[in-house]
Amino acid sequence: MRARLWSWPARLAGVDPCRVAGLADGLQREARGQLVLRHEQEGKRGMSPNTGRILLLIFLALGSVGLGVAAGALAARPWIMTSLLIFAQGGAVFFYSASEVMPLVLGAEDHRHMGWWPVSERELLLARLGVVMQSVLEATAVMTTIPLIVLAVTGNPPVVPMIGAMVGLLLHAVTLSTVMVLLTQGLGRLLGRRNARRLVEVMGTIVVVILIQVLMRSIEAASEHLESLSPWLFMLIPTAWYGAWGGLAQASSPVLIGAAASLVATTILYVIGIRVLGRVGAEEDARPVARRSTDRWTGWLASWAGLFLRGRDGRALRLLLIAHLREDWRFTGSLLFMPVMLLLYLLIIGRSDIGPLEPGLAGAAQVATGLGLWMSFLALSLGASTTCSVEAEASWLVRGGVISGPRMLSLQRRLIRCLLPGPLLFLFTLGLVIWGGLSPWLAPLAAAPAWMAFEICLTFVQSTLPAAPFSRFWRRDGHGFRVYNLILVVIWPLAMLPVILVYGLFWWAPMVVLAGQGLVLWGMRALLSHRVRTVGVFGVAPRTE
Amino acid sequence: MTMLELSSLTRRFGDLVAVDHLDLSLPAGCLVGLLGANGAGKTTTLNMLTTLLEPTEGTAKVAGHDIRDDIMGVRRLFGYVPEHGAVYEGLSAREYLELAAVLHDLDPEVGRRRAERLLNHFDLSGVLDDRLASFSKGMRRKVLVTAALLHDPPVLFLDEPMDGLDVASQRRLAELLLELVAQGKTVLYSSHVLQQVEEICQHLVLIHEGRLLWQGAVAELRADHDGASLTDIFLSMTHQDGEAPSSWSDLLGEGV
Repeated sequence: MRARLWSWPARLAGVDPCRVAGLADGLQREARGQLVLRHEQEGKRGMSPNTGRILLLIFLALGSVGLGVAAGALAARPWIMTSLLIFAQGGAVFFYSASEVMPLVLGAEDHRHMGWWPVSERELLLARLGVVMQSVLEATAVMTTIPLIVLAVTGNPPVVPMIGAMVGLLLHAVTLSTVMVLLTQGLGRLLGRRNARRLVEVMGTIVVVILIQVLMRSIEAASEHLESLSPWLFMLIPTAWYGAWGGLAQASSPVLIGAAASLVATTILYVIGIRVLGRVGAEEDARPVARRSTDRWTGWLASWAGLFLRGRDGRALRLLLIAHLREDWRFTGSLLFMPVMLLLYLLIIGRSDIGPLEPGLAGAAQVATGLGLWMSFLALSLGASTTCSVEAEASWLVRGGVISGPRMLSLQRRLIRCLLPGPLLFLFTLGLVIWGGLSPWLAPLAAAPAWMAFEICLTFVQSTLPAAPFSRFWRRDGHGFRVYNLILVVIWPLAMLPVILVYGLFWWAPMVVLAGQGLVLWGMRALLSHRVRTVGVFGVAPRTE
Repeated sequence: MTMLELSSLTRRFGDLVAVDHLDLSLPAGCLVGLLGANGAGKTTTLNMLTTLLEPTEGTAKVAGHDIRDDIMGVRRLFGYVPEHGAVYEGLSAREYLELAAVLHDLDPEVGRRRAERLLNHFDLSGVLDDRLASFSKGMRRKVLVTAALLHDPPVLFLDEPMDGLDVASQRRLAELLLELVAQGKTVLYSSHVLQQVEEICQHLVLIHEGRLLWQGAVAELRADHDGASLTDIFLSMTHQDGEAPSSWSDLLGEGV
């Protein structure tokens, strides 16, 4: 059965379907096995991998009901609407599977597991694509089926365009997964897997959160504009080709040509991409690791951290930090790029926020919200890079009894604070006074909820992710971060919404918000302590006596 | 018939010559020990022979297939147990070996039967469906050996295969290797444990700083050195016999 499913894709790529089916099945089982293992390592507490997967699919389904409602306009301008749906789906699918593609293609150590087995690079590439595509198609199927059911039940179904849109969306999902896998593989070929991994690690956070948003907004605006000029001009955008499936019922020339172009583009991309990038190579992993040229600036960062990490424990953690800065480029990248992003925020998005501000409390409220989200994001991103791990050896300081678990958690928080968010928030608060015109009393009040949000998120990270002093984020644990990504992008901003709404309304509102945040933080810390006492931390079981 | 033929095989990493014009020829049905000090080039040689690393110069043939021109053909002809070989920890032993069987184009039923028998031979039949993450180092080694033997290859490359195995399993593996050699298979056995090599291998290949230092029968080597132990001969040939061991106090820098 599996081989039959693989029959067409494998033949197009010029490989044996049975071998690819077996390989894809093995990689899929391994990925699932890793999730189960991690859940078991955590004492089977929290959400099981399968529950997480189902929850995410439910969330996608609920979100896609919105698409269904939006699709009510399909009858009028079917391909425009479908194209917009496809932009949205593209973003969702990218976000859904990005954390899976990177570890699978660049982080995978298949050469160490089977580099000497008779497996061609093309077979391996195709099997990896199969693993990614399975979850992407699963998500897309949920996203497309539910709106269709909603439309059918509500009795207002432009069913034919909707079915066309479904085909377009599924085809787009195939293209998107192929592009993601091929781009990542191509990057690995161009720069070498090690360097590509570093680049992706450095760019990962920013690409996922910022660039996709910018791209989607600009394409949305451009497509409206182009469509108003001419349907033919609109069809120059590749995404619109897939959207054309939603307008097939109208049978206009641009739409028919667009839909045909989507089929041709997908096939060509798939066949040529797999054949070109699936050539034998990538032997660099068997070479000895060359000395790195980054020792100097990692030394600077470590020296900066040394100002805040004093004493024996601090020195030990600083040594780990130096090793980690050289190894985990996602972490290092976050440290290097976050100030740049925050600066961009201040200059572009937050320019209206920072100055001149409204007088009094309203000005503080203007700042508190955006800043709060940024600081939360910083805590979740930097905190995750620092604490989460599947690598047992990363915990040796705690396992060897050099530093106790709670002490290490506390040092981690201090390290993360001092490395970036602390200095940045201080400078920002100063900026509010100098350029924003806020009084020196109100500026800290504007920054306070952001700081509290940061502390809450940091404790949340320590409570929820498998903790180790340092880790390699992108290795094998990409799947497990979907739920975490969801929290990062959707749930936490929603949770911050009440703060945004009430902060500047009354003189007592900041007190209530800060007290509420303090209460949440206290609760989170209590939960963390409970976890350390009952489950243990860093892979070390709690003492029973 | 020559099963393994190295012709001027060379690998450089920048200025470092890890393997330097290595020439070697091994017939079918022999078990050859590959010896050398740390950094002598043993693993690099094995990485090239197993197609994990491309030679900078020269080439090698495994059962007549060139490691440069026919990578997939070569990979079908050998079994390999790497020194630091990792297994897919999320898979069970059965799933891992099923994957190995599929990729070696074995009939699934044949693969399953062989895997079960081999694992049974190594006392692992009771944990066939356990995830490899729960396996000890020795158990993982047995699974790797099983995967290397599954497709019944004519050539075996073994890098420290006994590492982590208990005494009984070591003996069982040694007996199995001797049986395979008697059937005409060629085994290249790389190890630091000279005693093991001396017990199992009839022939030795000694490399030092990437070059072939000596090749021949173990008995011949010992006869040339007045019956000295393999350890003494090895130290003498690699010029490490004159180095006086430091005392613990000297090492601490607190000599009395």
